[in-house]
Amino acid sequence: MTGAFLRCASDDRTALHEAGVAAARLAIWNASRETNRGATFASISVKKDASGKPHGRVRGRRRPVAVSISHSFPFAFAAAEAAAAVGADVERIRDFSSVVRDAFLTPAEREIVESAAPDERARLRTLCWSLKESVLKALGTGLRVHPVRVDLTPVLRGDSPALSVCGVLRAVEARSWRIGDDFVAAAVVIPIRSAYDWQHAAKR
Amino acid sequence: MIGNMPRNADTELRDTVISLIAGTLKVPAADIRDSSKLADIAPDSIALFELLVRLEKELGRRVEYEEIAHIETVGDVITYVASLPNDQTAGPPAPETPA
Repeated sequence: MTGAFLRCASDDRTALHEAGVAAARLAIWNASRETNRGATFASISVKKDASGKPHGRVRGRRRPVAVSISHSFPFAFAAAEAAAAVGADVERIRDFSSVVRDAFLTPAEREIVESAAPDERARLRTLCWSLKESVLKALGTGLRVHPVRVDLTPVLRGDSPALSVCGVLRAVEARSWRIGDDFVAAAVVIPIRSAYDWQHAAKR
Repeated sequence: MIGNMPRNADTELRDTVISLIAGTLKVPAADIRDSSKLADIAPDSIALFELLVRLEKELGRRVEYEEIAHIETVGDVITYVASLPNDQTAGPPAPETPA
């Protein structure tokens, strides 16, 4: 997995969108150079499929590169992965309303957050959201799967590179970043080729 | 008329949903139209999630998350909520233990 952050000077939606696409091209460039040394930045484009999910194209290469884009002013963040599904999210650290935190965290995740130092809890909660959002973006479902159905407990405890989605344990590569005092970002790679694969696997 | 609800219930439900959207997304109720796109008025996905949770709690109706893909506008939210049966136990699904 490769990632790229860009700082955007304007919080205008169009400017943030363009910064996201540029970050995606950078992340795809880095990802594709591992397998295609001849790839140039100019040969990379970002397109959306029918569901609006972006993917990268490298000129001369048939297979698309999975990419995920997120914005939270002033940052645009993207992650790319050549051979698996990827989801990325950047968020401003916040205190969630009690309604939201009770709804999206599992009891075990809440316990882990509450056991952290008080000044770390908001960051940890935001990181949990960011990881869950990344998983749901990688799977291509977004909020069609309730975030509480993504259980981060093994990742948060550092026990294993796995988490469960709808009760199914999945191996993942999960990374997170702290950006200054105010932002966190996460990216998750899940070894499936597309949400289509996952939805069919879930039905079996 | 929303679905097969009587007009008074329509108006009451519409007002409640608009008020919830205004309060959760911090948008003046007067600026909210049926055609307003959620993606344009919600600052981010956390705000959208909070809206779904509050709709469940305040209206006592269980949102089926698998069914929300088609919801784009405020009007879609009102129509969708009107189609949900009352469920006083509405709330987040129970966490699942991996098999």
